Amino acid sequence: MTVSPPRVAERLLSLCLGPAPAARFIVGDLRQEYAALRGGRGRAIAHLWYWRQALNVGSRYVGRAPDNLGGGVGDPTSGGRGPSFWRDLVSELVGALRVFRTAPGFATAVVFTLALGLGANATMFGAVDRVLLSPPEHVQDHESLRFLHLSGLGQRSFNSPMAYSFPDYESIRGLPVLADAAAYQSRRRVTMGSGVDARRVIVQSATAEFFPLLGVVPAHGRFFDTVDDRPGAPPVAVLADGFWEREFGRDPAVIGEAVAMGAHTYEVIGIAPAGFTGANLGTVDIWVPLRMNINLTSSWDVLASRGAWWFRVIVRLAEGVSEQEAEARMTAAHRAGIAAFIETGGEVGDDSRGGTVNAGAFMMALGPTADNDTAITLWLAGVSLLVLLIACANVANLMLARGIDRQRERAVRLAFGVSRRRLVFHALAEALVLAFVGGIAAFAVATWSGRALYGLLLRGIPLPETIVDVRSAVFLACVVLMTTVVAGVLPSIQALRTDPGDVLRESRRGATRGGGRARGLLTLGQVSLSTVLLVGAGLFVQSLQNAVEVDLGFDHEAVINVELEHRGGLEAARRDELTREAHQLLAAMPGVEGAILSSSTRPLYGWDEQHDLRASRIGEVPRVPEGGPYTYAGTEGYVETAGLRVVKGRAFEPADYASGAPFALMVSRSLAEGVWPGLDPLKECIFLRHGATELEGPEPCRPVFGVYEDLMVRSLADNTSWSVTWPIPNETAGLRGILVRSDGDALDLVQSIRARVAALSPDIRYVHVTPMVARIEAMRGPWRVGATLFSAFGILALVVASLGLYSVLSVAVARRSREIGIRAALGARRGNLVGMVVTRVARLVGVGLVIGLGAAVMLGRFMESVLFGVPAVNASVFAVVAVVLVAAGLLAAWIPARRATAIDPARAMTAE
Amino acid sequence: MAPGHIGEFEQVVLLAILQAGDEAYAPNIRAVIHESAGRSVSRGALYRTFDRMAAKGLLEWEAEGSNPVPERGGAPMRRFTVTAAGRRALRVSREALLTLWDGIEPELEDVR
Repeated sequence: MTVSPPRVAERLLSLCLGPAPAARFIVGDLRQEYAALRGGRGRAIAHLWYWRQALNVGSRYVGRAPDNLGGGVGDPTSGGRGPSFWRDLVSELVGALRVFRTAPGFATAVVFTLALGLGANATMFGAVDRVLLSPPEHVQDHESLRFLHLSGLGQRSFNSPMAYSFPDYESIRGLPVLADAAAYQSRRRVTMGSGVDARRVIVQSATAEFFPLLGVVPAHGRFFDTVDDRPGAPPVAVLADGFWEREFGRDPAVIGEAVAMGAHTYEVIGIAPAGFTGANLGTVDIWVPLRMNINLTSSWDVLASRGAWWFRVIVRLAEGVSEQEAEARMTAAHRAGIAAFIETGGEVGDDSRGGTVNAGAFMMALGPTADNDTAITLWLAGVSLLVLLIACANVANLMLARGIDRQRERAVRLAFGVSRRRLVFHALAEALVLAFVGGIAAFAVATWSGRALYGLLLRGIPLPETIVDVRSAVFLACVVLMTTVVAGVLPSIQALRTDPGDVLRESRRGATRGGGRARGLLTLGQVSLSTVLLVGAGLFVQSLQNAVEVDLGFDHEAVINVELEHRGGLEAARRDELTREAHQLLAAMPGVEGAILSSSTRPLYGWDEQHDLRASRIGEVPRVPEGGPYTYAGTEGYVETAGLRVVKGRAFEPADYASGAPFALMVSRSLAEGVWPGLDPLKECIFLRHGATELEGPEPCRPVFGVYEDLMVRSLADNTSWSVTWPIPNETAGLRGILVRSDGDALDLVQSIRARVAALSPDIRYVHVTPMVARIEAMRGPWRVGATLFSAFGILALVVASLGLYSVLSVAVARRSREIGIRAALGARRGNLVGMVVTRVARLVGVGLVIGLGAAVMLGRFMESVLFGVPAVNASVFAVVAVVLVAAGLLAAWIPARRATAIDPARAMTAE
Repeated sequence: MAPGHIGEFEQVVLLAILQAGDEAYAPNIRAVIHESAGRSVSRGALYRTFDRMAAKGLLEWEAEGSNPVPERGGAPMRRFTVTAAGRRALRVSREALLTLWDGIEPELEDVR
């Protein structure tokens, strides 16, 4: 049996050898050696060896005329695009692989730039694609789908997609301009199971029309229909694929099983296909029929209410119906519905009269009300575009440098009669090979970085199976090819117009010119764009720092909020009892410094706005536009447990909390200053129109005992936080929230608090434990994301730009080696030579900085709204960026400068 | 370079062909260079050198297709021989080198 070497390698070798007379012998020799090696060392080693030899020998023959015919070097293949065209190209491609051996620095720099610059970009492009350009998975024919937005006459003119009441939906549903319509609610978290096993799942209610409208078919079982989706129907649920896997290990027997959610039990009837997330991108675990579920879980008739604007509506336009026509018909139907309602004695506010129905794009991000993810994604797309530009400029720069460097080599080859087409081919092949290898590396970086980026940016949006999809890949490939090929081939095309003789004569004088200006400009562009990114990074880092250092006005680190979720149908007295038991348990728990009860489930950050406070001297306390005034009430130890900081007067004493004690009150600093400017708040008092509990009796004017520092708990950017706090006796009925102060790290207590309280009684379904630090950290999120991403991209840009500077400088030094040599021979000192290089860096960095900072000032206006306590035009950030860039420039200049000083005058002058 | 003068590597190749004698096939020549001169030459470089030297008329080859080796998949072998011009060039080089070496030997003795 004869053994054959790898077919592809042999074919490649034959192509490279072409018509060389030695070709058949060489192929035979290698076959013979291959056979021997394979017998001794095995197939894998032999294959590897053969590939190496094929590339080695092939690359020696590629692009060379068969010069052993004694006929000199000619090119017999010029002319039309015969088979030789493709053979030339293939053989040039193989030859071009040599670039990794002959110019490893250059090749590595190009591949590195492509990998980082484009890799990061592919991920970003994928994210943009996912949020802005692609419909959610499994949705059919999304072009004819519309999200409805409703705007009214009154305050509700915010054009929100969440502005529909169920009767509003019913009034447009059957219109002939619509093929179909469905309503759904936004996702909500619901407790599944109870006690220690309880966990939160994300549930979405949707009408029976929802799945057919989107064109989705179930993976297993069935979706709910109109029989399931009616008030009073037995509860059923459809599971998302991810949830099915997580909770049930993809067990098909789950269909027909019961799952307990909230106060009710649902029968699982079907599984949605993998990747389906409904009409939006966020994760959903379970879908339930809307009409059935609202009826099941609400105590009032939401479905008949015109004031419960809780629904989103999607419609599919009927064929041939224009958007305008559909909007007109829907608006008319909507108004007719309202009119009929008023006629039958119904009352609606101004908000609902004269409403206009607008059909927005199905992909919410493109509609009139884009969400937060869209804004973040767009910002990042902008940033990554800058990185892409920098990377392209750098690759172009490197390719141009290489092209110019090889001017002399090209001239020599032209002089020896190698065809011009062949020369262009050569440059093209090298560009293609670099683009290919760089593209693969970029792909690897994209896949790797994608996960990190998704986790950081699009949290809650399930990760797609492939991060770089076909479109991203095509986009990337186009960018890579354009950059490398244009920059790689241009110099050689330009060279075709020059006379090789001129080039050779010039290069003998050591003065090959050309491209210097273009390369300088490219480098300048890189430096400027990097400056912009670094300024962005600096601003975000400073914002984050401010967000971390912001004084929240109270000692929040140890504060934990505990809230019980009870089994459905529990009496108020039993709920009270459980809350008290939990409080006692927590107060005695190791690691807990103190625990108090509060009238609010979430004291300090719940929705306890109260608009009907009256103050001495001014009467009605005005509403604060940003929200407030807020009211807090807690049992003994409240001030200490919440960590309020008293700035004036005194905190409540134990006696103040006692039942029947004289009324007392504390107010926040900004309220005191705003309500009684210039007066002593300790001599004033406030009426609580609705006392916190029935125990407190008629309205007294409660004297202000103390003033505490403003609390920043709703938003870090809050500059007015008006609040009022009063003490309540322990035995007050209806206390719902528990506030705990830990004596160590609050986060360490979360699990044990949840476990201990949940174990108290099966009547407790779930224990919500929220350390204040987690909440504050979430509020810092936007700045953390901004700081992380801008810094990552900024550093990336800096590295790439430094690479660009380095390459420009080292080419400059190499090209001027003769001049430098002469200077050295004439007695120029080392310092002067280094100065030459440094001057060049200084010029590039200086001009780039000025342009970049100018651009940063202009862009700053758009950034101001997303920064925190940092002016966008910021001298300290600008100074730091300047220092960083200058340092990077000097670092880039270091090796070329050393090379310049090491030039031996005698050598430099004889080298040419 | 004056006609008749050859480079160092060309000398090595020509000498290896002569050493290999009747077995002067490319793989053997490479092996001789490796063993005798201790130099590892890439196949690509060696083949190109053969071509160049053939073009200069320093060596020639004949195809041996009558007695095919099965591992070669039907490809013929070529046996190299040094032409008269090649031998002349070797001689010239050798003489030039020997002249240069004259009396140098003792000077290098202590560098051994």
